[in-house]
Amino acid sequence: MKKIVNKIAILALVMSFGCADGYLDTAPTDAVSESAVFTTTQNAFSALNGIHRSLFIRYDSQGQPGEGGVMIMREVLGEDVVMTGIANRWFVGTTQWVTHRDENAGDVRFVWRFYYKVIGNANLLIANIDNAAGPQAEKDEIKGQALAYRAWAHFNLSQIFGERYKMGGGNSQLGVPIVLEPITEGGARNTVEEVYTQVNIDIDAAIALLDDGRNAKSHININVAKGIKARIALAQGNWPTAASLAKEARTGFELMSASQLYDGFNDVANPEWIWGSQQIDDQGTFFASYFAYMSLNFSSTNIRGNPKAINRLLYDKITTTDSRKKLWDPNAATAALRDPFIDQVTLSNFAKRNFMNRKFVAQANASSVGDVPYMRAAEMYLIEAEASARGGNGTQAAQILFTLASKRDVAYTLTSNTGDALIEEIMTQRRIELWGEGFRFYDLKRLNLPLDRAGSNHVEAVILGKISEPAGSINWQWQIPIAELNANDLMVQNPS
Amino acid sequence: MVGHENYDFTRTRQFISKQDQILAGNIEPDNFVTINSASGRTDKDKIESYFSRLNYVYDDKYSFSTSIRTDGSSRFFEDVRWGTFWSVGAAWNIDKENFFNFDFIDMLKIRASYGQVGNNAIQNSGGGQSYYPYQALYDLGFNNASEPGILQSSLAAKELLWESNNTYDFGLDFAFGKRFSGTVEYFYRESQNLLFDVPLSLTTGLNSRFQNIGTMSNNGIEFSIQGEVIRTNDFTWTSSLNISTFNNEFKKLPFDEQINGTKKFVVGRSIYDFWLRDWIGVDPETGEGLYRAEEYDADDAATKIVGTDTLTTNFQNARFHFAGQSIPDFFGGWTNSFSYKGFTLGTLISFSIGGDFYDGIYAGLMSSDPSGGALHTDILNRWQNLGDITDVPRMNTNLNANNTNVGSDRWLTDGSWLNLRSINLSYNFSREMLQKMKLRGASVYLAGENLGWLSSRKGMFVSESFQGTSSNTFTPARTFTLGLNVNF
Repeated sequence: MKKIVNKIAILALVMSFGCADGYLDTAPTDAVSESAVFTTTQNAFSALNGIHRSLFIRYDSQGQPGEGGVMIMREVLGEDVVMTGIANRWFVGTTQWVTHRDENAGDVRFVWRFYYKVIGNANLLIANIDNAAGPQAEKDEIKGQALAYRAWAHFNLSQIFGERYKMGGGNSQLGVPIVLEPITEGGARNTVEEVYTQVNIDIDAAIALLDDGRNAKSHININVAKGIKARIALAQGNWPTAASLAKEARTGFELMSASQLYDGFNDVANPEWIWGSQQIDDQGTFFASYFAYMSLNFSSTNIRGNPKAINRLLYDKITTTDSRKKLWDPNAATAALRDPFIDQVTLSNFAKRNFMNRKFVAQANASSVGDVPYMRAAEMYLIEAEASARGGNGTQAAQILFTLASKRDVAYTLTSNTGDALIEEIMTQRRIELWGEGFRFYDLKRLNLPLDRAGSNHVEAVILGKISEPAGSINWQWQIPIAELNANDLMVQNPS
Repeated sequence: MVGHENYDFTRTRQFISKQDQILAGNIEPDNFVTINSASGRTDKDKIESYFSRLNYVYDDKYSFSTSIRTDGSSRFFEDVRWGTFWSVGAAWNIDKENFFNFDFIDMLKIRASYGQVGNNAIQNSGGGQSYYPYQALYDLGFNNASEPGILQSSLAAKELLWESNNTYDFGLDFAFGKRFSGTVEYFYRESQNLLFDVPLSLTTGLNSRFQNIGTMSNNGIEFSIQGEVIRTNDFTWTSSLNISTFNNEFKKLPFDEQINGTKKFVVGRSIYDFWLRDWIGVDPETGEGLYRAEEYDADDAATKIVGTDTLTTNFQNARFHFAGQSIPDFFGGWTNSFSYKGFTLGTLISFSIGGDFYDGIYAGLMSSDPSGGALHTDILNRWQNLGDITDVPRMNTNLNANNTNVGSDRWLTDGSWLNLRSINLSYNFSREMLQKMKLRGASVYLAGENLGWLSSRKGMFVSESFQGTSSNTFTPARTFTLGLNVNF
C-alpha cells in the first residue's frame, strides 16, 4: 500500500511539470473564429464579400458553379437552349427532366444547399451586425445587402422547389422553409404565400437601407434590390409594382451598343449590367464555371462536344436587321458559311453545330474565367414592358419595348400590336434577349405554360423523347434532396 | 511506472497553380504565365498525456497489470478536453501449478482484461482529419475579386468529448505435443461517445456538425493454431490457420434512423446492414424491371399485382428494405510451408465466407440506356422477346434507365471469396555445392503474389473494404519474382 501511495506522489510531481497553460489551444491558419467576425463593420464586410463570392465558386462537382450552375439548369429545362450533343453528360439528365425529379441527385442537393448557404451567411450578418463597432451607414449597407440576399435566395428556392405562385392569391400550397435567424435544426416548409410575404418584407427592408453607392457591381445596391423586387412582383402578377420598380432599377444604366453585344457577355463593366459576379484570374474555377458550359470557346470536353445552340424556331423569329441575330450561327456546321469569328476563337477539335452561340465567350481556350451576368438593364425594360402590357397599359408597354428593341434592331419600328399579340411580342423579345441567362424555366412556371420542344433542333439522343411537359404538372417542382429529408423530420417531399 | 508525454503535430501546406506553359519540358512555376490559385495552411494537433502502469507477477503463475492515463487534446474545448482511461488485466499460467501434470500439454494460460482507449481522431465528411472540431469558424479564401471575403464553415461544438473504446477480452493460450500452439480469444468492445460528423438540415446553411452520437458494440471470436504437422529428417510441413468472426451493433443513436449511402443506421442493427430497394426481377412480358412497391395506386400504370405482391416498374415508388450485411460469417488465413531437403514451398491463402457485397461498379456497367458506354457482357442476357426469363431488363431509349439502374438489392452479390495470396518456391544450395563454388550462401526462388481470386463475379474486387462496396480503384497487382541470392 505504501508503494502505491509513493507512486501517486510521484505522479503528482510529474503532473506539476506538465506543459504550459495554453499548450492545447490551437487555431487554424486558413479560417477565423466566428466571434471575431462581427466585432467591427470592417470584419463584417469580409463576411458579406464571402457571400458575393459564394455565387461563383465550385460546390460538390464541376457542374455546380454557384448561381451560374443553377442558371444553366433553369435554361436546359426549357426549350430555348439546345444541347447539341451528349459530350461528357453534364446537364443531360436535367434537359431530359430526370435529374431534378430525383431526390438522390447531387445537383438537386446542390441547388437546395447553395441558396440556403447564402441565407445562412446572410442571417449571421443580420443577427450580429447591430452590435458591431462601426459607422451606422456601414451597418445599413451590410444589413441591407444581407436582407436582399435573403429575399433573393428564398425567392429562387420557392420558384424551384415550391409549387408555382398562383397570381391572385390563395397560395396555401407548400413552398420552402423560411429561415430568418442562425439555426442548427431544420424546420417545416412554409406555404408559398408565406414565403412571398417574407420575401417582400426582406426586400422592402433592404431597399430602405441601401443607396446607389457600392464598390463593385458584384455588390447589391438599391438598383439591384429594386430589380429583385421587380422580379418578385412579376412572379406575383403585381403589375404596377413590377413596372415601376423595374424602371427605378435601371435608372442610371444605359443599354449596351450593338457592337458591345459581341463582347462575349463576360465583363461586369458593360454599361447595362446592373449586377454580376466579377471573376479575376486567380479565382478561376476551371471546369466549374458558367463559361465552361455556355461559352463558345473554352476548351472543355463539354463545349467541344456540346456547343449550346438556340432553338431554331426562336431564331427564326429574330429579324434579319436585329444585331442579336449574329449571336447564333445557323450555318456553323458548314465551314464555308460559318461565322469566321467561330473559327478564330475555337480549335479544330471543337464540334461546330448549326445555331450554336457566340453570345458567351470565355477569357481563352484554356481559361474559363469570365464575369457572369445576374441582372441587366434589358431585363428591366422587358419586365416593365411585360408588366405594363399585362396590366392593361399597352401604349406604355409598346414604348418601353421600342426603347430596347430599336437599340438592338435599327429597323425596328414602334409595334402596332395590342393585347395578347403585344404580350406575345414582348415575351419573344424576352426569350431572345435573355437566352442562356437562367430565366426560361422560371418564365414557363410563373406563366403556367407547357414545355414544347416540338419541331425544333433539339437532339433526340440528348433529350431522349422529352419533347413536352404539360403546364402545371408535378414535374415543375424539383424534388427535395434526400439529405434534407434524412436530417429534418419536419420536411415533406414533393409529390412524385 | 509513471510518465508524461506530449504530441505536437504540425503540417504546413503551400499550393500554387499556374497555367500557360512558356517552354515545353520545364515544369517550374516561373515557366508559366497565369496564376490560377495560391493558398496555404498550417495545421496543429496536440495531445498532452500523463500515464501510469503497474505490473505484478507472483510465482510465475499469476500476473496482474493495471494502467491509468489522462489525455488532453487540442481538438476539444478546454472545459472538456481531458479524458481519463484505465485498464486492468490478469493471467493465470495453469501449467505452472503443481497439480497440473499432463505431459502432453506444454502450456496453458487463461487471461482476461478490460481496457479503455480514447479516440480523438475525428474526421470531416471528406475523410480528412478535423483539427478544430469544437470551434465555430469562418473559412478564409473567399475573396471577391480584390476584396477580402470569408464564409461560415462550421458550428461550435463545445460539448465534444473523447470517444472511448472499452474492450473486454478473454483468452486461452495453449501449446501441446511439443509441436502445436494456439490461441482462442473472445472480445467485446463497446465504443461510447462515438465521434461523428452528423449531417445537418441543409437549411442551416451547413452540411454537418460534429457530435458524440452514440454507442456501438463489436464482438467476435478469434482462433489461431500453428505447428509442425509433419517433421522427419528430410521433410517438414508447418501450417498455421487463423479464423475470426465479427459482429457489430448500434446500442444507442441520437436519431431514429439515418440512411448513409447503401446502409441505414438504426439501434439494434449494424453499421454494415444494407438498406436497398427491393428488386424482384424482370417482367417476362415487358422486359421492365420490377420492384416491390411502396404504395399501391390503382391509377398508376407502373404498379401491378402479381400473385399477392404489389410490384412497380417505377423506382421512385420502390420499397426499401434491409437486405443483408457486408460482415462475413467468418474470415481468416491459412499458411503452409513444405521443406524437402533444399527446397521450400510456401503458400498463403486468405478467405472470407458469407456476407454480401454491393457491386456499384457492376451496376454502372449494366445500364439499360442504349446511348453508349462501357457495358458488362451480362447485358447480352437482356430481355429481348416476350416471355424471355432473365434477370437483365431490356435496353430501350423510351424507358428511363434510372428505373433499373438505381441502388437496389439487384446489385448485391455473395461476398465470399478465396484468394491465393502468394506462393513461394525456393531452393537453398547445399553446403557441399557452396564449398565447390566458394560461396557462403546461395539460393534461387520463384515467388508469385495475388495469383488467383475465387468470388461470385469475375473482376469484382470483393475484399476492397469492410463496408462491402466497390469503387474504381487499383486492385493488388499480380506479380512474379524470380530471384537469386548469393552471399560471398
